[in-house]
Amino acid sequence: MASLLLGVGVYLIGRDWGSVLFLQPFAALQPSWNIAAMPAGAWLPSLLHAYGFALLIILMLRPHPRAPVYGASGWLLIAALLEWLQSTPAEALILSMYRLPGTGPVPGLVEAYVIHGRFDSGDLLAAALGCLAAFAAAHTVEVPK
Amino acid sequence: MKALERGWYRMAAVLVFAAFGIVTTIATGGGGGGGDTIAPPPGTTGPTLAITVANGEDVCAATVTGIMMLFDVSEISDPLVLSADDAMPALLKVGSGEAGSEVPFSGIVEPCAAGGTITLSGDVADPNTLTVGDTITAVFDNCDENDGYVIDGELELIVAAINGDPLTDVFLITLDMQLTNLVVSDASGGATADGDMTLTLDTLDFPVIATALSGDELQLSEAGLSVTFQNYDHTLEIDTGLVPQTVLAEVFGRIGGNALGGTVDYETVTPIQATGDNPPYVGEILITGADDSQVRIVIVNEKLVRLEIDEDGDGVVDEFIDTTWSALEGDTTG
Repeated sequence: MASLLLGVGVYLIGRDWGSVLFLQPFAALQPSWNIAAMPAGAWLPSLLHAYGFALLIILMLRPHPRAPVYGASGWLLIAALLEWLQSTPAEALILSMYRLPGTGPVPGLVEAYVIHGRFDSGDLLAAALGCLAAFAAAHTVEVPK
Repeated sequence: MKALERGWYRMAAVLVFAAFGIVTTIATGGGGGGGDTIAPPPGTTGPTLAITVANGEDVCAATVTGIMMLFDVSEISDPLVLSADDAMPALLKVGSGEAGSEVPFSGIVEPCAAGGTITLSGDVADPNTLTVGDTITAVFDNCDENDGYVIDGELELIVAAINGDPLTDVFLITLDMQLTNLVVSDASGGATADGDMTLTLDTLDFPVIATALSGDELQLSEAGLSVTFQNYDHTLEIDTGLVPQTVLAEVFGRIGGNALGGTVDYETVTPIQATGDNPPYVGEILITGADDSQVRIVIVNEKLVRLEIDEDGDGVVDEFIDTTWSALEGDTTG
């Protein structure tokens, strides 16, 4: 949970609120300063998000002996799929389902995510590192019986 | 048994967390350096094509051509639906009771004057007149009424409003229409319309004839050019009492298509005015693309149209291009 909160913190202080859907309603309240240029601000949320959710899923899968493997690899698969949705082929596939944005069966938020998001291998790498970190953490920390 | 229950609870919890993770990923735009560009408000998306100095003229040409194509559709639709002469009276005949007095009706086949047929079905409240709520579906099978064009496809219409008698020169009628692959072909080729259109024809102030076209989505194709309108609203007002007649047009909507490679929003800032069949002599259309990029079509006079391209929407024109309305109408491929 701490990692997820930290990720939210990165968004709060390091991003343009107007460009982030969950912060958009509060964009007018954003302070003028930000740390968007910080290198860590770019991919840190992806890493923390993957770490946090992989760990949460591992926690739910406990005490299965392979929980760390399933949890980490499972979330990595989901993260990879979500990142792929922001790629050009995925956008073309979605748009081929209908003629114009806003008129098809894909919900608006998903459509905005697909069309306006950009595929970034850095995001993918960060997610992989986050899942790996979650796996390592879960693997090394012994669960009390 | 309890172990099994625990297993289900655990699985449910995993799914809940996974779903929450997916939702938060989408809500944050993907998390990282490549995902923080989701600008539109939730549930909406903006135009997708960025207007640049390089493509500005082509965008204007495609938009103007598309708008003119849409007005052409109304020129076909008006007589198709409303004319009381022998050229294309079939739909109106239904309303005036000539197609049969039983309602609802279906499968009424009307031969066209020079070949082909129209198959009619629908439900009208009173076979002797058109009434709000009347529905008529016409399936054209290469219908040629000696008008210089052949019609094929389906047109479904609902009478949404009516005032006056359409058989006279003074009336107002609003029709909600669904055009399904409606193809109008003449010697120069064919044009296809597919989508919805609300058509209002208002002659209550005759000789001023006002036409309004609006709809959620309509695709038009002609001579290799395909355009799709979304949330469009066009009005055309013609004063036929003057010589030459005067034309006043206002347009609004979103357009996409193969000549654009994306979508742009357009709206008239200053109504477009013309006389007779001449090019317009005044008017202004603002076209907005992705990232607030804009191009303004300023009609200076009948012989000059100035395009003002603002690539980043900062209000500073990055490029002026002088052209003509005729060039914009004809040049869609750049």
